[in-house]
Amino acid sequence: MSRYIAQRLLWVVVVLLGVTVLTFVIMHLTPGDPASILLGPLATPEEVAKLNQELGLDRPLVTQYAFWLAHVVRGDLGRSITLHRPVLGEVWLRFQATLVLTAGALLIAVGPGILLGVLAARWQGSLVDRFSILLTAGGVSIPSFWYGMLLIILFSLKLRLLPGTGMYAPAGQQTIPDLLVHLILPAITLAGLPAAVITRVTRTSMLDALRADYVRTARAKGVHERDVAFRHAFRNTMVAIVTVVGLELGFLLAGAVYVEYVFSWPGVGLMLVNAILTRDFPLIQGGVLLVATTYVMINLLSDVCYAYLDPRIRFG
Amino acid sequence: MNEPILTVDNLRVEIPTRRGVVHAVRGVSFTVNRGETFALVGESGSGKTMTCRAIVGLIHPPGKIAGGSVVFQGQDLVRLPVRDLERVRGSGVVMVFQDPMTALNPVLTVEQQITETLSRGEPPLFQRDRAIELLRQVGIPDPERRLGSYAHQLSGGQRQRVMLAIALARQPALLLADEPTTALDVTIQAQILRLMLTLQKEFGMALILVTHDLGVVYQSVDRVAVMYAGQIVELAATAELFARPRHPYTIGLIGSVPSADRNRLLTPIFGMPPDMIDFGRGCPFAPRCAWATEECVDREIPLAAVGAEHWSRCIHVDRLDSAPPRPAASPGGVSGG
Amino acid sequence: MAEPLLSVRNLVKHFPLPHGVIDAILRRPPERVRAVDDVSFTVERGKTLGLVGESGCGKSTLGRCILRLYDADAGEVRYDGVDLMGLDDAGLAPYRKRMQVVFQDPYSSLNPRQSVGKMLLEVLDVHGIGTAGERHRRVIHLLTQVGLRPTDAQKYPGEFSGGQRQRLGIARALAVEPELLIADEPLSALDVSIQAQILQLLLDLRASLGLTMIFISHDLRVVRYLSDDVAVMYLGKIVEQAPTADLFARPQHPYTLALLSAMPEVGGVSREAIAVEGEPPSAVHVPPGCRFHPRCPWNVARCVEEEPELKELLPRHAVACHVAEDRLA
Repeated sequence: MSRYIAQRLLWVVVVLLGVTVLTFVIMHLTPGDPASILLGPLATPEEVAKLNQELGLDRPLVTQYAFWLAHVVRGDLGRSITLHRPVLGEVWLRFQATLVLTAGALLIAVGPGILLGVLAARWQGSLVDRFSILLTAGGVSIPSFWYGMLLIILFSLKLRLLPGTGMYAPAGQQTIPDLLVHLILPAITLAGLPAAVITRVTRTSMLDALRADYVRTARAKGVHERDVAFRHAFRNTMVAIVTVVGLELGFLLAGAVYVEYVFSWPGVGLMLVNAILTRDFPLIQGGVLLVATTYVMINLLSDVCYAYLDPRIRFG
Repeated sequence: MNEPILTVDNLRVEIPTRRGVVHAVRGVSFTVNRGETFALVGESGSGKTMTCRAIVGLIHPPGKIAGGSVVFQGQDLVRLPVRDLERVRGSGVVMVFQDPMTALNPVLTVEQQITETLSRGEPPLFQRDRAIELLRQVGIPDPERRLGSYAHQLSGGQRQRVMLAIALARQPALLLADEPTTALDVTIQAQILRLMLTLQKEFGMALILVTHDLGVVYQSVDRVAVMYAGQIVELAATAELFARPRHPYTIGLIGSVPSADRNRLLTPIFGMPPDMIDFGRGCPFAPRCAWATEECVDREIPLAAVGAEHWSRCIHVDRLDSAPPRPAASPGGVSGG
Repeated sequence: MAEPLLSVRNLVKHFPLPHGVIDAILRRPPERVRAVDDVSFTVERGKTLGLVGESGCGKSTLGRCILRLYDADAGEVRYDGVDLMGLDDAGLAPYRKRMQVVFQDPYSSLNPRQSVGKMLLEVLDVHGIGTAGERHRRVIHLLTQVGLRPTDAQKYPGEFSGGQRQRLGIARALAVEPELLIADEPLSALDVSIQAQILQLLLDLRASLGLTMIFISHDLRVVRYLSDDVAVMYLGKIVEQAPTADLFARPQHPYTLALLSAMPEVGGVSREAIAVEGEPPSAVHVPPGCRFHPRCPWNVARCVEEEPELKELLPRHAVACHVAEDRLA
């Protein structure tokens, strides 16, 4: 198992390096530079060039990248050009907001998702099952931003039950209850797709497990049906569920952009959108690095969980 | 010794499919005595596996037991509610399956899978000791270490031994073994079979062995039921069956196996097993039978006594000693079906 | 005496196991599955060799190396005097027509989307046999030869039973009129009564077409019925080889004895059981000395130190066992 983790860690480093290089190259290849945007459309070419030089943007790409990388390993992600603040601090602040949103969405996706999946499998063909199929079809097909907006219209504007923007009420204290209330709609929106996927995978996996030979053996030994479902079938299903949850976490991080945008949730996604629009290179680079690292680490964690749950991987 | 512990009477199993209802088991009746080794012999589609599954109540829906009774130690298992059936399974009747690779749960340890069957009342330490003892009895070396193993760390033979340990955990009176050695290597097959028979003697269990291997039947079994197309076509003590087979299918089967005497030619049965949905009337073997006459397809043929403790479902038993009236199609010839 | 049709000499085939970056860093040596390890035998024209062993002994790999479906690592395969190992695809083409194979699984070796008739026509086409008209006639002839009907040509494999599909596999192999037929466990996936049908079919065809055969199986009873000579394999090596009657009457190698006693027979004398304990070891970590020694009831000191050679200890009867050698000396 340690060999397995060692191999995966090696890949983590490779992937992260690759991602940063790719981002760097793409950013610099797209037209537009921060200086022009900062100075506005009326600036002269000389002024733009001068600012670019100050920002260190006239040096060769490789040098810029090497320079940036050297700082990163020392923990310095540079300064944001538009916000005039250290990137690390800004990104971290925004990331916390995204984390809250993602955690909320995850809870909603995983908890009810698994439960519904298990019940649907246990009572295959029943109303519960059919209902689950309906929900999963909807969750997968309806784009999150669309039904996010629907939820805002319904619950915020028409019913005035829940807030539809931001993380906290603008004028009030930043209390936990306030946060939770603001979290409800965006979290449900974000959870839609992952919940559908998790339910479906759980259901299928569970159905397979219930048909497996070892379940037949367990019944033949006289194990109670309830234990058969939980101790035998479900434990084997966990493996599939963990894998899927790991993958969906990745989606949650990425999908957060739409939801953050629609609900004006001050997270990393929204930050990155603005940073890209203003060509704030250090901020973009820093943001992408953070998201990539998180994504990769989550995958690693899920692989490790997977290995723990499935002794075939653990003991090779 | 001749005390019946299992009496199957007119058991019928039906499986609805898109094409129609498959009559997998059609009126099977037999008795198994305490401590006896009983074999159900047949090929695929004969209904032997379904019969066993029906006995322990493991027919997957939409299949179901459509009629008959299975009386075990005074109780009719067909009519028992699930809770009570669960209690009988494991302690009274136990079933061991063919493929040891998939029959064990891959994410649970050997110890967990053995102790799961032991009764809840017993303290864990006692259960652990019992598990070690069982592993020792089935011939697993170094049983203490093996408790923590997972299925994929064991070889095929070892997995089958663990299956046996699990099966015997509560000393059942009846063990059903569905082709328990088919998926194993030849030398391992012999080991496992020897083990099963030894354990059977030790525990005083009855054993129902489902197999297609006539050699095994000849060497190790007390009584045999030959099944074809969902019915028992012949039932007798082993020695009697091989000395005087009284059904064309049995004769055909024995003739299909290459034997020690190299000079004896194979006499394969031509044709193919019947459609399990649409049988037609009368004896299902008639299309492939060299002795068949019009009478054979006229009516349903019951199992009748043709000797002491010897039953056959053939109406032409007296003619079977002589050569068949019409020659079977050239061996290996038209495959029929 | 005519030269044997097939002569295999010192054939070796190993399969390397995956060896990753971490293994290289940890300096672990690359491991291999030693599937076939220095195997030699000959098959005379018109005779049948039975190749027997349990799973993992290398018999299937050996069959494929002969057909050059795998490329062996070392050794030679002489077909009618010509070493096939040195030939490229073009050189090999005429030999592919002379050797054919029937596989074990009648379900996966036929293309489910191709009608049977088309499949057979394609075989004839690829090998350039006959004109278009002649090919159609030949397809009909093949089908009847294997016990099927001419009307079956339009059907798809899914419409046939296991036994019938195996007949199709045989028809396909015979389409090019081969001299050598390698049958790799052709009966294992079939029911007993169907096995007998196919077995009888092979016998009839062998007689009528004068085929040379290599019959690969784990079932000694079937091998005995069909073969002139038998070679017993264990963990990549031949441990005993003799004419069939001889092998069964006077088996010498403990593994052969174990196999024989493990096969109960109807009407047979119950042989004294040679209890072979333990499991077949992996072909990756082959035991030192005689490969069978960890499971052998006759195991002596010499068995661990020195690997026994396959030597002719009785007329035409070769055995690779120190104890047997001593006993017969």
